[in-house]
Amino acid sequence: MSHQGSSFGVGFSESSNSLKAGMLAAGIALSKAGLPKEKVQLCFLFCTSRHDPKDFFEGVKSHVGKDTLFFGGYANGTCSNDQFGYDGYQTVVGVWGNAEVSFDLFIQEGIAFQEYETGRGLGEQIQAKKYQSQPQMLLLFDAVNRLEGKFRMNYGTPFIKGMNETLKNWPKVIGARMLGDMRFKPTYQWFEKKMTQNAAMALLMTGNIQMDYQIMHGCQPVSAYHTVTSVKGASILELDHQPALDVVIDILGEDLKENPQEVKFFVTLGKNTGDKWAEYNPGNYINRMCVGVDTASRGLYMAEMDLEPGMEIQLMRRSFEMEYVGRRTRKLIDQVNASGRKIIFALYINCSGRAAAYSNQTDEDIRHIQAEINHEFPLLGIYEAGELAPIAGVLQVLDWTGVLCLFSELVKK
Amino acid sequence: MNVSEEELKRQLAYYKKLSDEVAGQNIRSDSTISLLKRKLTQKENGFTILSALHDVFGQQIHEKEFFTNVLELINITLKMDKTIVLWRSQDQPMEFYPKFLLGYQKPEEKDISSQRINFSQASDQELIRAFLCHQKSEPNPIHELIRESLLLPNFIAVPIRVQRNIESWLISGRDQEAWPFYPPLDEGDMDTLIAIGGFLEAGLANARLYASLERANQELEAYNHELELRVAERTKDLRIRNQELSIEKKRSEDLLLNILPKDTADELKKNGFAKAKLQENATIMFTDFVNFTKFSSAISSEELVAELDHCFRNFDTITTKYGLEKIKTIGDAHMSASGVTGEGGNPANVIRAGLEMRDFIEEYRKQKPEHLREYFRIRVGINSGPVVAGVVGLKKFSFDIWGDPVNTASRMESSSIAGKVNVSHTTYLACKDEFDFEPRGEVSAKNKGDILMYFVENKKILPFD
Repeated sequence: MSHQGSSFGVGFSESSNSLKAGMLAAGIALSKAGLPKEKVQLCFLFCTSRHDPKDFFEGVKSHVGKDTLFFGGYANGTCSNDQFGYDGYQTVVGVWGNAEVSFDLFIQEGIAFQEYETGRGLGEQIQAKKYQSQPQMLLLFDAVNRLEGKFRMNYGTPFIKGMNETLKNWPKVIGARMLGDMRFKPTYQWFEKKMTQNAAMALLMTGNIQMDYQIMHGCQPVSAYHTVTSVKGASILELDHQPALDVVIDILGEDLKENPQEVKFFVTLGKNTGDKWAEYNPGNYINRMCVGVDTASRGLYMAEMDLEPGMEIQLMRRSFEMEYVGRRTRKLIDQVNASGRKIIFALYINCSGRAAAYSNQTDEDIRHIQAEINHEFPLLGIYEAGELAPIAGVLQVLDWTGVLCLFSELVKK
Repeated sequence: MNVSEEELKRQLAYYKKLSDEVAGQNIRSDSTISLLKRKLTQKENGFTILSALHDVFGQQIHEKEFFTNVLELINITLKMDKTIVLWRSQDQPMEFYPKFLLGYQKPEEKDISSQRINFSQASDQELIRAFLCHQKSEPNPIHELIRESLLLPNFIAVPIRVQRNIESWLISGRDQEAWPFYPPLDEGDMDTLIAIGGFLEAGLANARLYASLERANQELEAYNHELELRVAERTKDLRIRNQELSIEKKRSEDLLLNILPKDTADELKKNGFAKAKLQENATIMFTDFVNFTKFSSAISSEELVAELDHCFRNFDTITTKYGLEKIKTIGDAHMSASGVTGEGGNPANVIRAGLEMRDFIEEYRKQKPEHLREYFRIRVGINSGPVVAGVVGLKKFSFDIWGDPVNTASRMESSSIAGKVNVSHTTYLACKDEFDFEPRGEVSAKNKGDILMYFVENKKILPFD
């Protein structure tokens, strides 16, 4: 019997009633997939922190089968093929059935303050599965550590390092660091049949499935190179042997001395992994956002802790061309189509900071993704706090980017 | 041109500085634009809410639904975490209690619902203007009270007035100030919420207007219902009364008809009087008990009247049967007539009635003790001729007939004998073929001289007939 292809549907809701939102989004997704509830093998589910996580989960669960696996968590915003929004009551649900895919779910809880150990644990679990061929992996982990009340970001660099040490062969991977709002409230995750917090989890797919992705860059270098001369964890203490905050303020304007906190979330540093004097190539840059300032040590808290002494960085200007997003989307779609594969659905993991309300953009990049897909296949999108994708063959947590991933399969005729 | 290493270093430093300056200017302008855009967006969002609110004013506003929607719009559009509407307490006018809220977690909602906020300052003067509270606000007891009671560290409070009195407070705010995404709430945010407050006031007025209309409608409906019930009740009463009246009327009419002939009664009812009329073809009958005076001394008056009543009831039945008009009774005499009410008289029916009355008494007589039997015999006299019939006088109407034929009929009775029906020549002529007549020749009658009389009996039926 020939495989007719997977069924995938996406539902979006903005109801402020969490139970209703879950039911609505799941109901729409099911209807669009044309699947009976018991045929849903895997269910993606995301909602903002304005929702009651338990009610939302119950709402979704009421519309899928008892054997359905769940994989998802909080997001600052969500999107479907024709709707999107953030910082409200957005939810999105994706249901997947009739897939010739084996879904293996792995979870390692307790990532707060234990990113490296969590990475190691998760890597070990995946390694123990001894995959014969390279699986496809969607990796999600909690961004928010509020175990001590104050917000601390869960860093991806040690987490990936931990995984790297236990995983002999990396699956093809993309992922996201999850947050539910820009106030960094505690987040929730849904895994298999349960709800949890403070977790890292992985969805491993084998069989008739392939992921193809495109990173949508958004920053351009604008300054001269500056050398990191002192760091402490994720904090850059010195640039060019000067207090890092003072160097940045010198560049941006003396008036910031009065309000140094204004530096956070708008200063982005770029690390060029390519030829430093060659023409700008977005694919060579790893962007790191400043998420806080330490006025005592005059240091800059970065979203990741991978900047080390001796590295050269540039100040990046956030400005991306929307046409670029459209062009890259089309290119990726054409590439998958040309390989004779059928696209099941697209997953867009966008940086929350790229949303028009938080950036100096007048347009939303998500609109260009939606327009280019033009209902050819379902789109499920989330706004998160860091995108995971390899740069130069190494998995990185990216800032101020979007990662578009197409999931495709071979359909026998 | 040879450039020294020193010069190259200077050039490098120059361009590096220049590059950084340009970078700084660009990034700062992006930041400024972004900040301005955010403020502008916040304003636009405010207008979006106002526009959405404006759209609902063309229709009836239901208070709960209206406030729930507004709270949702505020939280989503203005990026607020929590919004709450406090209502003035009926018991404690200075206190306000939470009525509508959005953005709280379930356990928080439980705690919040029991809170009471007193919007007065130390001097007990009630607050009447909107106010703003953020991290850099001056310490203020009311700020602290709201922060603690409503779990809202950064907020804007706006009074909602109805007819100039503060009816409620709209309080909206954020858990955190998170630069740059959620900068401190400012005067611009307060202006937006004040404008929204204005719409809430109008919404409340609308809701109350419709509510009062609805109440009035309900009252009207209830009144109508009550009225309908009353009308139904009254109609039922009236129907009963009408039925009673009809029965009463019929009884009155029957009574009237018992006293007066129908035409006379109708004329009397219509005009208040009835004219006596000449009736050309009347036949008058008198009956009288033989030896009544003696009989009346033999039994008590009550027994006498009871006997008379029994006999006259039966006479009345008989006269009704033959279409005769009972005129009256005079002592033991019974007077009836035919052809006195405008319809043609029927002398034969009068004779039949007389014979049946005679027969009734003869039969009744047999039931009586021997010593009383002699008193249960009647004489019957009948005469035909023109009479004047009608009612005279103003009170105690009674139908009567006048004329000489009446006197002659009376003479016929007095000239009759017990158990016989005596008729005049006029009556004989009218009925000679219908009965067997026994001519008595001329018999002397008081004040009338000698007049022809006939005893009458029903025709004998011969075997060959």
